[in-house]
Amino acid sequence: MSQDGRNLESVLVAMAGQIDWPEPSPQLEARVRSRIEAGATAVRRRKPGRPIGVLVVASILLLTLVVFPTTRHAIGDLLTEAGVRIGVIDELPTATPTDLSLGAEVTLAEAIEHVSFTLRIPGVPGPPDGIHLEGENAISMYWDGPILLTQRSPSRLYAEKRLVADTDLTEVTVEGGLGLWIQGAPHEFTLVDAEGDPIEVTTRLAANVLLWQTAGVDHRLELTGSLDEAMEIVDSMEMGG
Amino acid sequence: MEGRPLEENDLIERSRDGDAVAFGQLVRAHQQMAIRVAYLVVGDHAEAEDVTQDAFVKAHGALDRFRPGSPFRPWLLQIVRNEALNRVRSSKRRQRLALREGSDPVTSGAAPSPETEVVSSDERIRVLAGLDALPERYRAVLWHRFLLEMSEQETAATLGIPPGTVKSRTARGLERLRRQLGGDFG
Repeated sequence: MSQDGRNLESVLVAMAGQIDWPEPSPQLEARVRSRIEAGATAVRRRKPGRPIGVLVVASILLLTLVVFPTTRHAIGDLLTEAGVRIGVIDELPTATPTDLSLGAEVTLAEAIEHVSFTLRIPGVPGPPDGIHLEGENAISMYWDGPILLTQRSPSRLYAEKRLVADTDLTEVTVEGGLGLWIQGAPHEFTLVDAEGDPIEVTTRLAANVLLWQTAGVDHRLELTGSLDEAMEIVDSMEMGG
Repeated sequence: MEGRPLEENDLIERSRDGDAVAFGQLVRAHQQMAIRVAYLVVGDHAEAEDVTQDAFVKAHGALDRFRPGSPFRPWLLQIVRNEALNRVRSSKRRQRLALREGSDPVTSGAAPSPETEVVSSDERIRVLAGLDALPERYRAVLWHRFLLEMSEQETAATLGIPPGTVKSRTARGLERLRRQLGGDFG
């Protein structure tokens, strides 16, 4: 039978009545009340720390940071605003399989409650495999891949990156503003306070990183994929509350 | 919930004060939509029931953070959806939606109302498969707008996205679905 011109919206609405919807069991209300009266709460499913084996690096020797002189000033400004310092070191430590040391896992609703800014959730690559608190006013979303997106309200904390040669820094436009794409050789990442003293004992060994700031919120997107993949994630970000 | 906001606000207030019977009334009022929202994500009846139960308990624990006077249902449904997404994330699987047996008006001989589109079994299977193949951001919006028959505003509140995004994703999602279905639908 010809179906040319069938209205898809009407078909979808008609299908609503043909879905095998579940009916709440007669015991649902009683069970909820029983749990409330017993003070029970749902069990939060926590995942153990995730090794990031693909990010393991070998020791890297004395090398020089490669930054084009003409971009150094602009990058410095960006990094100051975004709460990130870049430092040049002679040698990165020999890395071993490490852990991302993510904070406590929370639900999206709890994450939204945790931060003072409007948390944004990317539609790509789909629902996060984990949402974690990152100390005061910061949330990280994790996807197996690995991909890590951190949103942080500017504070006295600085994210410090230590780079060695073969790490390329490129200025890019992200959400209409200046961003920084760091790609190439692995680089060390740690949180430091305003005086530069490390706060996190565990150092993350990041993959490629996109740094930018939108609406006063620092964003850090770490992934093993390309800049195009990073931008696809950025383009899919939406308001979370 | 139109026509009874005061009653609902009163139930919420009493629930906050520890009245489990009042919260039970909120459960009864919203459990059917809640379990459907959960089912759209997990695709399994028993799992949807568990998710709904957990979500109601969590919602009760979060009542202090509910803004009095704002719509309760989308706030609750967002908790349900998050709980369902957590469950799917843990199990790494999501089942497909199922169709009711004997629901084919073409083969069953049932007379549809004049306003109702007659959707054959083949069409439904194709459309459901097409929906399932869409990126999650489009699929979720189409599910809520058409299968749950939510307004743009309520879809936005339940999914935690701006109403404008619901509008644009609805249009893009329908366009993608039409392309997948090979031009049979306008």
